[in-house]
Amino acid sequence: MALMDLPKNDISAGLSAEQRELLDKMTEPSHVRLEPMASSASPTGIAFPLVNQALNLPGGMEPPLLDDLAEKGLLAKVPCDEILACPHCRSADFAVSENCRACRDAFVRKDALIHHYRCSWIAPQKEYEGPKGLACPKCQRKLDHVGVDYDIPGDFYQCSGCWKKYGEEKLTARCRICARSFLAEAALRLQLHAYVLTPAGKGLKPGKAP
Amino acid sequence: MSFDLENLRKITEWQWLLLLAPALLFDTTRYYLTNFLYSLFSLVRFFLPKKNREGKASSECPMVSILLPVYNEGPELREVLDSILDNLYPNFELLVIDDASSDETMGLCLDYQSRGKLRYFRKRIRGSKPSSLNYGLFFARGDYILHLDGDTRLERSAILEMMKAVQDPRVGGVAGNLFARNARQNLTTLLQSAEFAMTINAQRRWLAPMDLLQIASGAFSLFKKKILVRSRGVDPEYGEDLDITIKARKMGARIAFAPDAIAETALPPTMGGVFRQRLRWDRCYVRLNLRKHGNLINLLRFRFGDFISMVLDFFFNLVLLLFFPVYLVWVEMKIPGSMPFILVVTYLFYTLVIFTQITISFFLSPKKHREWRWFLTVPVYFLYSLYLRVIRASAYLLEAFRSKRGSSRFFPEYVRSQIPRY
Repeated sequence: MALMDLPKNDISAGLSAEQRELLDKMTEPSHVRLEPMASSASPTGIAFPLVNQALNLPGGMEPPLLDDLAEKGLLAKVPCDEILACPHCRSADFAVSENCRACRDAFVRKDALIHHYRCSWIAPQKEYEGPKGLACPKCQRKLDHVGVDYDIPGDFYQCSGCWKKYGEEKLTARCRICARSFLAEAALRLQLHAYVLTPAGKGLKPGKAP
Repeated sequence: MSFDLENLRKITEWQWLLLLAPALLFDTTRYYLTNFLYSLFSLVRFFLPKKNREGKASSECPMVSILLPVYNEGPELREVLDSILDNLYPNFELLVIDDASSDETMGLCLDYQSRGKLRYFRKRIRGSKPSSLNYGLFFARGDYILHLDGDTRLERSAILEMMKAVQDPRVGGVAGNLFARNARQNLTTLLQSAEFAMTINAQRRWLAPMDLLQIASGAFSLFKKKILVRSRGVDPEYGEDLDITIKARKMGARIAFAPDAIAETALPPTMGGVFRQRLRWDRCYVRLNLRKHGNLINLLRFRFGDFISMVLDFFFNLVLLLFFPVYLVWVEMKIPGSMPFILVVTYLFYTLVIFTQITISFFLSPKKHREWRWFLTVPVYFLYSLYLRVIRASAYLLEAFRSKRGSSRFFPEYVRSQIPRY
């Protein structure tokens, strides 16, 4: 039998004191909708400030508490935002840096790559630059107009330590919670939810123990 | 005078030669003997001690950079990526260069990149396949560069076998062995698949040792990086693979063939598709060999074999084809009623040659890729061959008049308008 189908008294019996207090608080107009926020104080990187304040809970305790209420059918989850999180510990608290993946050195060189239409040559802009403007290092022709003679299909980064070249795959991230590094594009995309009372939650008299 | 069996007895030796000329002069004939000799050679080698048959494997595994230019490849790209990543060669990096695709290619590649499987480069503006290859070359870290097409699936030992072949210091590039992955789709793909088995799998086995292999297909070929750097990457050509192979050969490098390095590629399923693809290839062959690299006929500078190959191709594919109807009329006038006889004899002889060639190719193919259905194409292969010959002749004629090049599917218009015309 699903929790939703239980008599109200049975639902209320399974609630902790904090949960009952929270449901009570949510009947007030200021607490009707509980919104998540990114927070470095919380180990999960997400906090519900209204819940923290109302119940005086430490950061990171509120999501399981809210999920439990949602499972019991007393709160409804409303999708509200999407955040990136550490793929190792799911924390949203990480720093992104442009460091070389191989040697962790900082990049010193960033340049645009030029594609010369006539000969298909791709090289850094610096190699095209000459005393009379841009000239192709492969076929020596002059490049006058972007979009007519050439375009810039991307950028590249070169490590100052090991001279390795990178494209857009340059960004690495380091989690402040678990201290592990990962590629920025490997970050998890987490769907965040706000919580509101369901009709079942509204109908409950949560302040009183059964 | 009617031409019947009675009259055959009256024909002189000279007239017999005249009647059988088309059959004896057909293109395939020149390959017939060499293929046959190679098969005998393979048979002898089969009984030699094993060490003589093994390719020279290097104790080191230098890094191979695999360049995979992609453009709207669709969900099938996953299969291609998996086949590459599943390779037995231990030291390679896969660079996927996305020519600003508008489908799910980006999401798929980012997924693989996030798991550290490949390096994904997305160009902001569409360029072309050659520019993608040069883009990848710029970022490549290996001393060996493997060129692949977005629809080429590799066998697990493919890179290993390519690397064995490139250990010879005289070799600058290696052509892989390509099979059709959709051979059984219909008769058109079956015919092409049989053709691939004969022209790639069988012929290249003897063309390469004789230093006559003129192309390492862009769908699956390996080059030493120094060759590509020296030639400043590839040029914006419809057949950039032929262009780079010619350049490598002009530098004095040999092109090897690795029969055990196997990849599968998709072939056009309609005759219209074959026409468009072949016309593009053939025009490129004519343009590059006769115009852009016309100095190849300088016998003092380059190989005599290349010169002979080009002359033979010109003779068989254009001169003979154009003169065949004229010849038929002429012989008809000399020996009235002989035309059907000539056609039948030519057909029978050609079909016999094809049957032998397919048999040889069948046994030279790795077991997994042997396709008994190739034999079904024998009766109609003559027509397919004629079709290909007409395309090649059209390519010669179109290039002779410098007719405008085909569709812009391979180059966006702003790039195409800038490409030099040779």
